[in-house]
Amino acid sequence: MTNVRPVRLGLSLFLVSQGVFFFMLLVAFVYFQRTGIVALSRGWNVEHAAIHTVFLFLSGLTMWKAVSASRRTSLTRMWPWLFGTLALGALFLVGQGSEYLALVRQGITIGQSPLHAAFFTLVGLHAIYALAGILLLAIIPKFALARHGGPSRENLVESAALYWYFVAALWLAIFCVSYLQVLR
Amino acid sequence: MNLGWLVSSDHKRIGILYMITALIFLVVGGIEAMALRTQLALPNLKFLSPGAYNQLFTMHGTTMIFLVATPVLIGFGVYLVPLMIGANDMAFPRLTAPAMWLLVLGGVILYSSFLAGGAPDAGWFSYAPLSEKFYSSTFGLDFWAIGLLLISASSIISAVNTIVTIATLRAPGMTIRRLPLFVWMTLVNSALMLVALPALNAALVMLLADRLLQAHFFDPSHGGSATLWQHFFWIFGHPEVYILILPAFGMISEIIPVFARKPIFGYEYMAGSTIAIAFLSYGVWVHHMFAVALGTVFIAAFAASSLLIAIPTGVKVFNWTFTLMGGSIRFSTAMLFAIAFLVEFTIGGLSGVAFAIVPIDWQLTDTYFVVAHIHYVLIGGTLFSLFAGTYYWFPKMTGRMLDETLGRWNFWLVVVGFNLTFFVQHYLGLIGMPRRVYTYPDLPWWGALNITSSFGAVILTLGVALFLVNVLSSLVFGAQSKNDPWDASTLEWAAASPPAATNFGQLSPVNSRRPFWDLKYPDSGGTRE
Repeated sequence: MTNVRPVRLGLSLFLVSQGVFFFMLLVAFVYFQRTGIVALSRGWNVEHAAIHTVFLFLSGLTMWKAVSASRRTSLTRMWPWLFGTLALGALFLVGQGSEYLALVRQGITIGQSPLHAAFFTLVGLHAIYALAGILLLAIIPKFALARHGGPSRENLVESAALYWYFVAALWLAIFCVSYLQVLR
Repeated sequence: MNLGWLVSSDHKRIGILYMITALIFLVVGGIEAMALRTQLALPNLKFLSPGAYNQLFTMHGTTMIFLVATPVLIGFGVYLVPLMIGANDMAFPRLTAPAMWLLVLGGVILYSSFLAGGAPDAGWFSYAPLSEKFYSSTFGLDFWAIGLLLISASSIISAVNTIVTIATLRAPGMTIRRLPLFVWMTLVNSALMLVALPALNAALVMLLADRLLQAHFFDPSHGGSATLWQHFFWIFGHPEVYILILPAFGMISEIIPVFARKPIFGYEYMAGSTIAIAFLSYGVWVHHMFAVALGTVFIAAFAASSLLIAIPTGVKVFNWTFTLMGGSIRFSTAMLFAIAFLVEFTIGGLSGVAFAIVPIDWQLTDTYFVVAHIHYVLIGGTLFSLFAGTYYWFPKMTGRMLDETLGRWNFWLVVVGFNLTFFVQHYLGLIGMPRRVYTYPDLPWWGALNITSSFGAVILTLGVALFLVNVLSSLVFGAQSKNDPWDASTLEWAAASPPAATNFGQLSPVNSRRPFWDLKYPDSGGTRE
């Protein structure tokens, strides 16, 4: 009876709950940052992380363009933007993954202090969410090209986009709270 | 019941499966409670070892909260919400069943801890650092955390499904101001779940990181904070109390008007106070932590907010009472439980207000007074309304009536047994008996009050057993139910008993808060907004 689209509303509600989940982890990070004796500094490569952040931010823009193209019912125009999003997302993930690996190689691990634990928990879980987003984007072509059945293309692309914006916005929050404090 | 039930996506079947799951865990949690009360019946008893006692009270609390009360209320919601709003199913029928099975999986994982070297034993709120690996070295707490994560994920999926169902599938004319109050409260409740459970999930993930990956979030000996666990747990835990009671309020708000033969008094205030409770429930969690040195101003602010939440709750009690006033009341078993709910829940509410007063809290925290309080709210409140709801909606779900004679025995045994068990625990707390001790010395009154409590628990168990007997025997021998045996006013009674696979054929547009009443008595008037 309403104009509300169920999938979009459902996904938005789910993302609200996930937002609260990450907010609590950020609160833990800030708590240990304020009260702990250990700070994050040695080994952190803020420049690299900033470059990866730009990749993810750009992937949000390309996703937005993909949605616009799909709204104009132009599949051929959507593909480049969609694959661009996938590529930028993968670059972010691989780049950040190598950063964490470098930290671990230097002996900086989750067990070092609660602040380190909060950092690795945040970025590790974000990476899982980002990976899920990339998989979600990767299955779009399968459904979008199917002629019958399954969710509508518009619904699918817009839902995937909503999720991807969440992943990007979440990273921005994590980057600002965790990495930028290293500069201080 | 056949195998089709296990693969069904019909909200009614899944709702009933939720209820059956909860009923099975109620029996398990009840057996655990009886073992605890047997151990406590007399001073210096050695029926259970201290370790077994710790595991049993942890499993009893966790089971009753996460595997009985939460799922049975979700089950009622999944069953009733589409019927009450005139929909044929949930918004995401293919999500309804996986959510339910996720809950079952969580319960199975929690209980398989018994086979993996010992159940969790740090209490249902698993305070750190006791829950850390150093102090709890078996796998019990890992199973606890993983089980709860799955149960929590299940609840979040159900909450999303419920909110979208109410937002998108209401019958024509069923505006938000005409929603049945059960639906209203389930809606607010689902929103609460969406934002409260993630706080628990965050805490659980951090606990698992501590236990499995050698992190030190909650370990003070390595710079972690045990207080942070308490904050995170109760930021979830206090809204959880309302998650366990709001749908119960909704049931009472449906049942009292039907058996008092009057529309609910103050519908808007009922709905509005629910929203107020939901918001306030996020600002009161520290009253669980008054014994932690947090600073006077901080504590005073939370004492004030905790006192404040009694106002919207009080509004509800007044509304139910005024609905009863001047009504031509029919004392069915459902109504008896609803009226008893009013009394018992008010007692539980008042002892709750006592805990908002900091000096009283300091005196009584971690005593049997707390145990009495939580059971008055969760049994006197939630369980009593669930009994009322079952007697009321069983005919709709099964097409058969529950036996009213057995129902009355069920009612009186539960009321007497419950009050005998838990009222005396207020006194036990006042005279200083701490909770969670596996035995106690023979101090004046301690033995007498404990044996009274244990005797009450036996009567309560008999009452609950009689309920199970009534349900099982009525399923086979119960009188056939009409579609509308109570002369009710909400849409679920317009469907067949039990409803067809697709709930409704054609529905007339909804014009008031009592759409089925309008349909039955088109000339009654006076019920429109």
